[in-house]
Amino acid sequence: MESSSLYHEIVLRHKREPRNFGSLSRYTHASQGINALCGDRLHVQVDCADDHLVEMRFTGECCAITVASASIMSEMVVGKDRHAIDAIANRFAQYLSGDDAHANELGELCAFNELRRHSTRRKCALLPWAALRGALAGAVVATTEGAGLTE
Amino acid sequence: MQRGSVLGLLDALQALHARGERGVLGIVFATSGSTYQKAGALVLLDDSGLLHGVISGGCLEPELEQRARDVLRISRADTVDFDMRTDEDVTFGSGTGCHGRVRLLLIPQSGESPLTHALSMAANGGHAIDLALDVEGDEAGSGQASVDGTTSTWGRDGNAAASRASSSSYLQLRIEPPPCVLLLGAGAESVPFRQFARQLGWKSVVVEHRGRWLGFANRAAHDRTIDLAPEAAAAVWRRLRIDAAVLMSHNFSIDLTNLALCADTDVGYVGLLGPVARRDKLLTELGDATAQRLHDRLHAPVGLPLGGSGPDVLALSIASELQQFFTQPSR
Repeated sequence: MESSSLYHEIVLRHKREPRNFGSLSRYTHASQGINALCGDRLHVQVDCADDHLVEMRFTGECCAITVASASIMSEMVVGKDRHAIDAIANRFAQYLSGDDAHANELGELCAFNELRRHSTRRKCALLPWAALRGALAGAVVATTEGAGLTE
Repeated sequence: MQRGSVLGLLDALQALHARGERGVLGIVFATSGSTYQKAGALVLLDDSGLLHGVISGGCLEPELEQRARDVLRISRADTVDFDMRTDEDVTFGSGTGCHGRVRLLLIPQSGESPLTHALSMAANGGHAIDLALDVEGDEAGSGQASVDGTTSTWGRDGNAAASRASSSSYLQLRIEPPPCVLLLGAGAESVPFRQFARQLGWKSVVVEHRGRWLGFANRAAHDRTIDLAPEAAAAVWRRLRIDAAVLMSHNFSIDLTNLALCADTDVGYVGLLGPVARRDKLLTELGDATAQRLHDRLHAPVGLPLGGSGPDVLALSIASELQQFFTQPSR
């Protein structure tokens, strides 16, 4: 299978069966990520202990890219602190812009490689990360416009 | 309300240039499969985004706006290729699922750009514009425009160039001028008709010399109002490019005169307001020879049978039939 088809399949798999989709009965942080371009809204809830993320859930009616990104993110960030999460988010944004320097640290996030050719859809992939960072920073609402992601 | 077609685009471009700013003209030069627009469609963008026209239902514009900003920043034309034919595009790209392809040129335009002048000359003079566009390689975006015998040439920066760069990838594209509708008589329906015409980017000229009905003509703000009786008015409108005429004076004698005047022209669409019995009586009065000259062109009663009544519905039905006429392949 060509890598582009493989990437496509990974994204579709996460879209069809997203990991950690739903709500937490108890959480310490929450935020809503809004993508003004396509109207997607993603709710993120996280439970943190000792500055480390213990559990995360998300809900929302979003495009395949946003759901898949949130699904992959929800598996990657467990056990990480805020600085580590910031680092992954920024490396992911750099990767989408064409920078392969940290590609080997991004795991399944590399499945979004095709977004290098579709720059306006990058924000769909970055929305869950903006929402998560917003939640950890205490923001009720977060967007990719002001989330501080370095694109 | 913004005017449609190239007329509205030129309004927006003129406003931009009046502020000393530049715009980016997008020209759809090739399409395949299912696409929202076809070759010859125009859009105008600036730093803030889309100013006039669309190329899709909104799915492709964000990417186009970004590319237009790049064109402005480096002052160099570029090509854009939206290929929506793959499954990957549904997930990662436009997300339209249309399975079409749209290719555009984005060309920077200042107040002095030859292409802006050529478009203006064509639209205002009622002429077609013939474009020869370089769509590939180092000179993509350069080209030549011919309007009514006048030729102008520009380079990849959109500015005037002495000659056309030699290239094997020139693409010929003809853009027809906005249609012009002649309304022979004003009435309650001519006001909403003008709104439809304006939005669709048509020009409209109204002939009305009766004071009571002249108010309808003035209220509608047509591109031109000819305040003369039918025979005298014909001497004026016969010098214009008229694509369709609609007789709507609500007066038998005036309609009879105007029908005879239209019969002596090559205007391809002659619409007549009123019932079938009135039409038949008018044609009988005209005589067989004159009626025969109108035979293939006369649309009476004018308009598509949409149902309903009143001036707004009437205007919509006339505009609908005209839209059908203006876009039929045989024109």
